[in-house]
Amino acid sequence: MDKSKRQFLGKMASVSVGAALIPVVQVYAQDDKRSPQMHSASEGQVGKRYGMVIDLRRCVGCQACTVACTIENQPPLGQFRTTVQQYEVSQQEDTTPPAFLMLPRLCNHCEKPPCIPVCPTGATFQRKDGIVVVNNEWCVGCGYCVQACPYDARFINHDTNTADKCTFCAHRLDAGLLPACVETCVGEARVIGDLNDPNSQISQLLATNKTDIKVLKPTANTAPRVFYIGMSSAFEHRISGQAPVRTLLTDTGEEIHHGH
Amino acid sequence: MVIKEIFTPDIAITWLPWAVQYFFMMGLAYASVWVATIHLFSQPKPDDRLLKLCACLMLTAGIVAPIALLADLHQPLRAWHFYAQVRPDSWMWYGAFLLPVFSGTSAVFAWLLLRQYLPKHTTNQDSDWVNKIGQLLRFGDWDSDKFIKPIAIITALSACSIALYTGMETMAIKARPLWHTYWLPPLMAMSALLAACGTLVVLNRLLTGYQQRTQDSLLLWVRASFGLFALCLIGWALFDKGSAPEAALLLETSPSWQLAAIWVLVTLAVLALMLAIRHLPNVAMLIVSLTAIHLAWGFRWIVLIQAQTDPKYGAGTYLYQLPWGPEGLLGIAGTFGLWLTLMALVSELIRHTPAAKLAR
Ligand code: SF4
Ligand code: SF4
Repeated sequence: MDKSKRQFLGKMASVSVGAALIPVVQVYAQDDKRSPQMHSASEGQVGKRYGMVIDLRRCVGCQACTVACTIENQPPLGQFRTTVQQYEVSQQEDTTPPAFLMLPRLCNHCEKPPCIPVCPTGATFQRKDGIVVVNNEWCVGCGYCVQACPYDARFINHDTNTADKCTFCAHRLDAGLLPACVETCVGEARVIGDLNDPNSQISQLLATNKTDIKVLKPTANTAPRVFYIGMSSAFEHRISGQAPVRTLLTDTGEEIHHGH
Repeated sequence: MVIKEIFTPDIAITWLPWAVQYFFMMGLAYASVWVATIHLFSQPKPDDRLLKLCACLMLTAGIVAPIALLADLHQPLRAWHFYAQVRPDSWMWYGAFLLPVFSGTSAVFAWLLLRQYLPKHTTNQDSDWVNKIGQLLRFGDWDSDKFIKPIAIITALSACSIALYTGMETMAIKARPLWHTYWLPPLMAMSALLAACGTLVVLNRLLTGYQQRTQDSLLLWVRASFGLFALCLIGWALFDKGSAPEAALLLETSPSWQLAAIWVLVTLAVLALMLAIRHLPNVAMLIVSLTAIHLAWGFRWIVLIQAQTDPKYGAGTYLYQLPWGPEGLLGIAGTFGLWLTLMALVSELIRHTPAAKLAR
């Protein structure tokens, strides 16, 4: 094993041990819970607007968030609420070695979410704090919202047979915890917070990096509330490039199909 | 800048082949309502055989379609949730109301057209159970012919509403550039008409009492609907600004899309050539009909299933392999099987009076 890999693994181990020891970070003050502005969990926290900043300069593509999310939210095998997609970027002339871009993806909790108006039952809705959620006891699993999301952020959960996606770990936020992905992120690339609060870390980050903030598919008119720092504009829109070798798995994880 | 995707997830399709079956069966049902209504109002002496075939088709396909739709919901038992709130921004929500209206009106229309073929009430002891059910379904011997035309108009309007909502429901999805074109609803409707006319030709052969006159008028219908479908397709290819370029992009890179395009073009060419023959021999007519049906079904497959393999953000296409089970081949075969069974049942019920005449 080469040196850098060993160092990396060592770091991973210490980080994961560390993560277990770090006391839980509070997103909002405890006494907020008793404030008259608080509504029931499903309605969200009045006055807040959650958003996420992902600093691509800090992402190492370790997939710790993917794993943490999967442990926290238990989606079925092969289905993900968040993933880190990896791209090789090279220049046409091929004189410099290719660079790699790690792109964490999740629901953008859009301000104008196209997934909501199409829903025939109202099972998918936006909480008062901007988080887009699915009431999976009401969802009929028609999949219309899955079609309408321009980001492939939704899927029909094969276990619950209802629409599923990232919730910013609303259940954790409501309990004063950070989302699993944020909590576990090795490079602290993911920052969640209240966009309405100018003093929140996320607002500060957005302000200081004003010129380098991008969202995915800005022309889709969805007003995403997941912002990327350090993203090349080639990644703003649908990737025009070479597709990976894709593999199709059965429900039990066996490979049944290969293709491009 | 050259971008290579190294590691991205594969995303499964969400609308399953059930959706194809729903759109196909529904297309047969609403288009046969159109054929029957237009025929009723345009011909001074309507062809009873044609009306009978249309009635059989709208009734049977109209029963199978909603079943396929329910199966495409991942939580079919929750279908009542559609009716528990107001969702005016969702085409699918409107569909939940338009669909039962169509089921009701088309069943009444079909019943009115078929009623004369149901066995009259007899005290004859040795009439079999099919006969007895037929008598029951006749609901007495009163004259119902005067209701046919008013119901035809209502049902035809309801059929239009189904064609509109199924087309718009798909077209409304901006996130899928392939779907998001105003050409899609007319393409769906015209291919439905083509499939229905083709199916009526086949039914004319299959159900006892074949009529050459019916086949002759159906040939006109097939020609017209094929022409309209081809025109829409050409219009889409030439004038569409979003969906057609997206398709062109897929054609460049994806072998499965190239295959689909070749198949569409070859089928269109074969149909065009055969339909250009002035006097089609009966066998050729049957081939034309089956080809038309398969074109309309395949068109729905490409639009509804294959389009879902087009990634919204990533490059290339996602993989899809038709599963064997109910979410795949079994579902497709099951829907067709159910339709055949219903068809056999209906033809059994109306076989006793094969040559009745509408009293007009
Ligand atoms: S990313 Fe997709 S699922 Fe999330 S809010 Fe936006 S449209 Fe809806
Ligand atoms: S799958 Fe569920 S949440 Fe999505 S549109 Fe259908 S009912 Fe609404």
